[in-house]
Amino acid sequence: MTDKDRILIIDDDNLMAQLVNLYLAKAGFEVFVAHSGREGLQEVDQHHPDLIVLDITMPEMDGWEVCSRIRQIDDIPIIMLTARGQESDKARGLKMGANDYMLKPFSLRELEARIGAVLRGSRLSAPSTGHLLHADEELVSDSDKLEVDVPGSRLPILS
Amino acid sequence: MTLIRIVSVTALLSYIFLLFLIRKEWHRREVRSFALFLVGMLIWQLGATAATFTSNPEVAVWCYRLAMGPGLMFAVFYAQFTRDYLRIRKHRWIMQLGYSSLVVSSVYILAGGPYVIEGIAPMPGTGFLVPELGPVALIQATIAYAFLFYAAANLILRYRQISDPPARARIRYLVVGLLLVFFGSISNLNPGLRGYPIDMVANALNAALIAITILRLDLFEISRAVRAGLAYAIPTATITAIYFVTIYLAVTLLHLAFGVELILGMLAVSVALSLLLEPLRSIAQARLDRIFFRDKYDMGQMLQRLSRMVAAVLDVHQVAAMMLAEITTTMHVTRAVLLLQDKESGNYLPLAERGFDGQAQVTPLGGDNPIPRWLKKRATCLAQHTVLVEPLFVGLWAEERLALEQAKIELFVPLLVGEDLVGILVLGPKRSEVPYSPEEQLTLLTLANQAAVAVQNARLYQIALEEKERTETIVQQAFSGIMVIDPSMRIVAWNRGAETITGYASRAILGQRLPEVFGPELWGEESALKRTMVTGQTQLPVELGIGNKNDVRDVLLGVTPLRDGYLLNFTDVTHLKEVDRLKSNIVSNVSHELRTPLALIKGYTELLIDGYEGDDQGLRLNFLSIIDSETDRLATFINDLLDLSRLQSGRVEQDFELLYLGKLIKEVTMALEIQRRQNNTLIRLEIPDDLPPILANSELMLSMTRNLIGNAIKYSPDGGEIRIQACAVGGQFILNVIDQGIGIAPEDLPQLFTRFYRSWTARQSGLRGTGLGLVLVKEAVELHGGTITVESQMNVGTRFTVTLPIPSAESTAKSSPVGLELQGAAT
Repeated sequence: MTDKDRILIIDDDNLMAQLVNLYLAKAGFEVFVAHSGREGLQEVDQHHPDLIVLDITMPEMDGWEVCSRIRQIDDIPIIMLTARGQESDKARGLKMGANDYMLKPFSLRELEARIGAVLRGSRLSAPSTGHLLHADEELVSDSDKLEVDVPGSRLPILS
Repeated sequence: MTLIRIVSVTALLSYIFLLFLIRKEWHRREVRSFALFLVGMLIWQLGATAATFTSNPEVAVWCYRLAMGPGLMFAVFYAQFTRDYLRIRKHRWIMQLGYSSLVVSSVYILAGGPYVIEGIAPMPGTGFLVPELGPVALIQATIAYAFLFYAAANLILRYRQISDPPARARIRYLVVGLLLVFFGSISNLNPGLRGYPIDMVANALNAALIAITILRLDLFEISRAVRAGLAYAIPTATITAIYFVTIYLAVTLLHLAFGVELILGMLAVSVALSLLLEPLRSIAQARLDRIFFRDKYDMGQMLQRLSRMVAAVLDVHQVAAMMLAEITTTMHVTRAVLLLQDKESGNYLPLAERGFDGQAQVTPLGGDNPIPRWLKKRATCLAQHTVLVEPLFVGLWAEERLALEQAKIELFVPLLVGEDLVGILVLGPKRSEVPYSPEEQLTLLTLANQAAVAVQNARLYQIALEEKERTETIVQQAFSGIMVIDPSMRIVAWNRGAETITGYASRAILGQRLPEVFGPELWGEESALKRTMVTGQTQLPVELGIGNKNDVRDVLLGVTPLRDGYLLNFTDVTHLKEVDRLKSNIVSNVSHELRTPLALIKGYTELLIDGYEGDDQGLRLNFLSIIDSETDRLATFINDLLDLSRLQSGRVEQDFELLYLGKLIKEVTMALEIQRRQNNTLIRLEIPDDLPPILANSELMLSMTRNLIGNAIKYSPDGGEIRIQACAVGGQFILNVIDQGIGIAPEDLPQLFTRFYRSWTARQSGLRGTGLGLVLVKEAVELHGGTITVESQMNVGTRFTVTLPIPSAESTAKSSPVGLELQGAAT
């Protein structure tokens, strides 16, 4: 792992993806961009991002489905960034496991701040077990004690 | 001597006996006149009898005066009786004449005037004092004969008119009796016969005949007690007589044969007789009972039959018809009507009738008519003569009285249920023309009350049945689904609405248990039904999806507890939900389409302000052009949205004008020149100059052509050619826009003109679009009475064909064409 947090942007709108990409890159993140839900899932598998910025309205596989598929195997923090402003959509997004929900039009600075907050929060609560298990079969995490069992030793996560 | 006295006394006693027989019926008019006749006969007989017991000529003369004066009044009274009995109302003057003349002469005779009895002398042989009659007595006798003739004529005339056997028999007896009286009296005119009691014998025989008529032929209904007495006295007396005669004979014969009196033998004979005669007695008793009480037996049987029947039958008409049939046949009633109270008006209307055969009908009786009021108050039978005499009925109109008489109504019997007069049984005379006896009236009353209960039952049943049918129809025809289940969740009712909503026929569903047909959303722990089962309270409708054969329907379901089961009541809201979903889709689409360009504008602006990595002039310009094009996109979207809502409000029609569409197309193409050049496409216009104008709204036509041509440019590949053809064929303006673009998938074609719908190829292209353009095009074309069709092949191209009507020459002439000034067309 590099010290830079890796952010995956999934948005079918080129201009939007480019905008967020430019800003976050400048803010010091490593940014990946996917233009569809399917592509996004591949990127998750490939680059194991620390956080996903997810659009909802996309052709073929929409943001809801992407979110639920990711949550089946992983709990990478997800921030939904969408033009769907209805309360029911917001509630649905959070229920499905999104860590935050931002409505377009949005402020880039706020997005950056929220990304920071969500990343801090996720580090405090639970590591992305599924992801780690995926990486190494022998590694077992104990989210309650914030410890990770590596064969032969026991390491606290926050060290 | 003794014989004459015996005959006289016997005749006297027979008249007294007759008076005794009829004493209970004195309230009837004909019985009263008959009684007067008997009194007259009695006076006559008294005079004649008294004369046989005296030897004083003075007394004898007075006796004869008594017989000749008031005594002879019997003739007038008899004539009066025949009139009353036969209900003769004509020639009233005859009676008035008779009364007045006889009263005058009777007073004269009684007062001892001359020329009545001119002398009195003992008759040779018998020694009775026999009078020598004067002219006045002869006149008096002549008048009496005239009235006897008159009475006989009445009887004989009626005898020839009627056919009813008992009635004929009665009249026959009366006529024979009358003739006896007549000839008996005539014998008095012969001085040689005057001493013999021929008249008395005739009178006595007449009395006997009348007695027979009364007893056997129901001339008058005599009291039950008299009949009962006779019925038991006759067999008992006969048997006793036979008993004694047999024993006497046996004793005599034994005495003659053996010369000894065998007391023990007597005993044996009497015991044997008792044994033999007892069955004989019961047989005789039964015979006599049948003779005297025949009608009573019949009525008893009728009552029994009818009570059995009315308890079983629940149809009002059937009950009425059976009742009338029984009454008319058993009681020999000529005609009968059953009036039933109409619940709404309170009037009594005929329900069933018998024996009228198209003759004068019984008119309906109003609820306030005195007859129903009387019946209700007295709760007993009302005879027609009561109607004629009671002061209560003075209120009846003359026509009503006439109608009653014409319909020959004899008796009204109330049908009472408690205080309620539900109907009236109206009876005509009996075949025998004998009035209804109190016994019969009582029977009829009992019967009527039973019938009243039956009628009431039948009516209630009918009402219940109608109510049930009505409710069933309502339930069946309701569009809502209605289902009733019993406590074990078995479906017991299933209406047509439920069939429509779920697709299950009631045949298949009735008798099934709820869990066998539906999912747990209807009956599970969380369901409204379960809550009702637990709390017993009605559950207000909640929205839920219920599975059925084909799909899931969204319903509003409410549950109501019933006495033995539950009512589930559901309304199909699938369609409403679909509309609701579409609406919220549109809202979220609109919001999406507004928010996305705004987000980009804001974002890139922010980027420009805050700076970014690799800041250079070129990128900055790029950002600014993004902001610019997103602003345009926002503006277009808002314009489209406004156009659409304007189209839907239907207020565009007023703005129609003559428009040269060819010219407009060329102008739009020019306005799209920048876009064309950016996309590097070729546009070939094939538009003749002489195209006729159409009647259209210029703004809508502008937006239609701009959308169609704009789309063609947008989705054409680099170097693609766009052909725009216009022509006028058969009164139609035809516009073709043909591109060589990405095309539209066949499965997208049906939804191409749906709001916010974007085809798969369009979405794949990554090109922006709102999904409103084609909707606008279609709405605009259809508003102008035109059509739009689309043909497309993937990656080959698309062809849109718009057809618009060209107005006729005359309507074109009305307004001159207006040149069109193009407003800045930006896409």
